[in-house]
Amino acid sequence: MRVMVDLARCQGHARCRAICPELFELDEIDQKSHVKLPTVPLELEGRAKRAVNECPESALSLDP
Amino acid sequence: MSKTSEASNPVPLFPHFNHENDSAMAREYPAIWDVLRHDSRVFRGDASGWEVWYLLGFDDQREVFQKSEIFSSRVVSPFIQEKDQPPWIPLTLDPPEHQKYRRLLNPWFSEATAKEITPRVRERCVELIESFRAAGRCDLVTDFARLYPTHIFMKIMGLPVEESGKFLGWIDELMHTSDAADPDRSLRLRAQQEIARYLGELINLRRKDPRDDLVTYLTRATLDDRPLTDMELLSISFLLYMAGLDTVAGMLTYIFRHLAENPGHRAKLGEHPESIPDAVEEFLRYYAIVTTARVVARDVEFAGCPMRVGDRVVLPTAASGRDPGQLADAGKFMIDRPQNRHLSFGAGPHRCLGSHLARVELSVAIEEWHRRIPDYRIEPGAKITQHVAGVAGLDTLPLVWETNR
Repeated sequence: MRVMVDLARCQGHARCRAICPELFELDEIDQKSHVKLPTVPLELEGRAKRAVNECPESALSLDP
Repeated sequence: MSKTSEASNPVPLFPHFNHENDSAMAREYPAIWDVLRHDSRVFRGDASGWEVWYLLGFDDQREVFQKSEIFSSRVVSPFIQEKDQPPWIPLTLDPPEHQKYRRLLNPWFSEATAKEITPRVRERCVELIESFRAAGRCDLVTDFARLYPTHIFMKIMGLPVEESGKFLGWIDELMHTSDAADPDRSLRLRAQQEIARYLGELINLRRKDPRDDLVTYLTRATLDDRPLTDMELLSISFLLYMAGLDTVAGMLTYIFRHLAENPGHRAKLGEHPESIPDAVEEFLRYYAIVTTARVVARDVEFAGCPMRVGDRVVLPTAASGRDPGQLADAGKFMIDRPQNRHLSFGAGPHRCLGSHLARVELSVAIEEWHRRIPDYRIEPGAKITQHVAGVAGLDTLPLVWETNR
């Protein structure tokens, strides 16, 4: 499973980071979210899904 | 209250509705939006001389927030004429102009900065709670909610804390004087002028005597290779305090009324402070306090509405937070909701700058309060009223508790 951030939509709400800091970090300059891991480890899948669902901008997506 | 439909326009009309002074709204906010949603996710009002579209759904509001080229922020109130919108930089600017100012402010309100100042937030919070704990009572509004975010704000801006009494007095007058007490707005205008004069003096002082604060930073910032003008500095300062004070204060009033009436939730948050951040999201969703608006900049068919340039779109975030299409049991408060989603801090380019700081302030308040005052209730017989225009909040919240230690 991979998670992607649409940087055009991301506005730095940081819900993803609050829900799963292992997976997301915020860029210091533009405050946008960036994914730290190339694939989502099994133990983080639940929180990754929650982060995707909770993003107010619909800026996150999962593949598959 | 009832809506009607016209053959020429299928969107239900709510005749004469003005959410800012509707008496049912003032009594039953925020649950009232569930009732208004009953037969349509959209309705329109005709209280002013132009179309006002109320969008209640999450996805519709999200799109409006995001599509700033169609929905402009040059007016953010539904019932005033465009020429009467005071410029609040950067709130009333659209991209790309908006971003030029926003990027100057972002670092001061980043998530990292909010984390960094958490100890100072905590210190101020504890100081305030200790000031009334032994008395066994307080009015949460005047003794806590209005003071707590203000002090933090003043520290960030660099406003001298010794002057805080004076400054708070003007803010209180500007933001909380009723139309009844000030029918021609002269009292509020005078308070606004005092604040402008005071900020103007501070700006000049910081130009000569720089400190490590936001006002100093703004006097040295450049935009398009020029310094900010005094007008811009004032406008930004005004916006920051308008956006940062009543908002956090309003949320605190709903949070503490809820917890005063729900001992099980109090106990849970007191015994498990790690559950506070998720609870804060649910408070933000369920008691969303902001209703904002946009002006239509381009003719567009949107959410089944034929919108024309100049129409206003109203975005009640309490309604989108309770959209049944978004969350299970959206109309219920669930302190351990496994999945949340709300637009209480908006979306798109104007996403609330202070959202990270606000979350810190609210979490710290809940944590530190329940460490010291785990049990409390609303004073018996208290009449609790609320104001709902723009930013909602309770007018008063007298709380009482046992003092046996």
